[in-house]
Amino acid sequence: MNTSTHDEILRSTVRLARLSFAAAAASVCLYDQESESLVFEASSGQGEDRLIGVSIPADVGIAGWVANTGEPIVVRGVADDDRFNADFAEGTGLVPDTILAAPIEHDGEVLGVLEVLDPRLDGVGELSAIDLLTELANQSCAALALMLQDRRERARRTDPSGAVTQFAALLDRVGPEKEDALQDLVNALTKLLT
Amino acid sequence: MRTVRFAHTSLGATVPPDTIPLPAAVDRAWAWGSATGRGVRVCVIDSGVDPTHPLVGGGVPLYVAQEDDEGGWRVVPDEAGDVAGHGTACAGIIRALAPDAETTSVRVLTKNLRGNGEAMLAALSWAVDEGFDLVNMSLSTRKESLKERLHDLADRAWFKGVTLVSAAHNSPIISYPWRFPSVISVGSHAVDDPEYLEVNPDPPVDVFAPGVNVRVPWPGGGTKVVSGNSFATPHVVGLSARVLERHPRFRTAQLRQVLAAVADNVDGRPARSRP
Repeated sequence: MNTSTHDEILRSTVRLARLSFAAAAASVCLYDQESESLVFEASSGQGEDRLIGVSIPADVGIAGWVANTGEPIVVRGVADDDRFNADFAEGTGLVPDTILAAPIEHDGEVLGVLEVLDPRLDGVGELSAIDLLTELANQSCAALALMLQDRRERARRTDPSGAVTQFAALLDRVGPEKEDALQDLVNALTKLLT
Repeated sequence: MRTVRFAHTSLGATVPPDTIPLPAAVDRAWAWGSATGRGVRVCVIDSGVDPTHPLVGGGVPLYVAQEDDEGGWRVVPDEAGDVAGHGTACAGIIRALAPDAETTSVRVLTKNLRGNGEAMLAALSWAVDEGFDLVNMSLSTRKESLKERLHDLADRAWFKGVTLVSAAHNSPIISYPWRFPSVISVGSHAVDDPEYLEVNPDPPVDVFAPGVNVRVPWPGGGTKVVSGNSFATPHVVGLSARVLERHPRFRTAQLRQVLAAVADNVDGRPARSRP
């Protein structure tokens, strides 16, 4: 997978979530271990261009609860709760009344949170909505797990002081006359790691 | 008709009276009468509690499970209140049913999601050591690596007479501690009556309590309408607090029996409400 495929999976997930609930917006935030925060990776609907890259602490708010517990939730009446929207919602241009959120989990680890803002729940019922959003999150989680793994690998390769870069630099110093030995090393490593 | 769509919810089944080992009726007048949970100590392990909310009642000591410099986890006093709203909702439900119970909060949300299981274990271990009568755990973990330690802790609670009341997951998956037989596990029904209780004829979930469109207090002073097994759990804690005021020597085994005996879905017995 390349980066544009990753982005397309995420964009498709949030679009599908928004359309499924005729919602004002939907977004996906992924957990970033380094900054210990949830980072918005894709968004569809109102405020979508302003959200990408924004990070929020992983231990507060509805998204934080969902990420910590792995439990989906519906909360109505968010608009009258200034703790959740004062700074953040102003920045996005959307102050939602209802938030529907489900965890994106893979092998018991929470990768992130899929959120739908102002879903239309009349006729659907909020419990069916939890069901549906959980399934949407499940469907995207395998692709997201691959994407996160790919990102980690890329980050390791591009870190100039990282072990992978140092290893590559060492191998670069080996002259062409030792190409066979290099191949032997690769074969041995492959055997060791598989 | 099945109206509740998340997992571990009531299907409206009834149980025959011979599944309950009580030849004479145990009714609610005997189980709790006019008890209000006075003298019963409850620990809410959750997102914290807003102690200033009028529906929470004030005087809730706040603690947090946090990692120390050596990588260990400790429970220490906290000032953050409720960082997500969930814990305040649970505390409010308990207070509505058992207004004189003494609630203490331990916050377990962490920035490092890998640490949230450790926070939960630390909080639970502390609650058992402190000898709370009841522990409300409207959360669970799926991590197999934590299962054994959590199981040992649940056993320790059982032997000490600390009753763990824990929410079944909202999705049809296995998580802990609610799956352990030493824990009273709670799912949801959709009956709009805070004292309507069902015993589950089909384990692992023990009982069903109101968990659909429940109006709860929310940090900042207002209320919200929420749904999930998380909110069924404190209903059972509130009713259990009443029982323990009346019968302070009861442990988890006796509490589970009494909850089953006063359930509203036992064939041939009068029910408070109809599903």
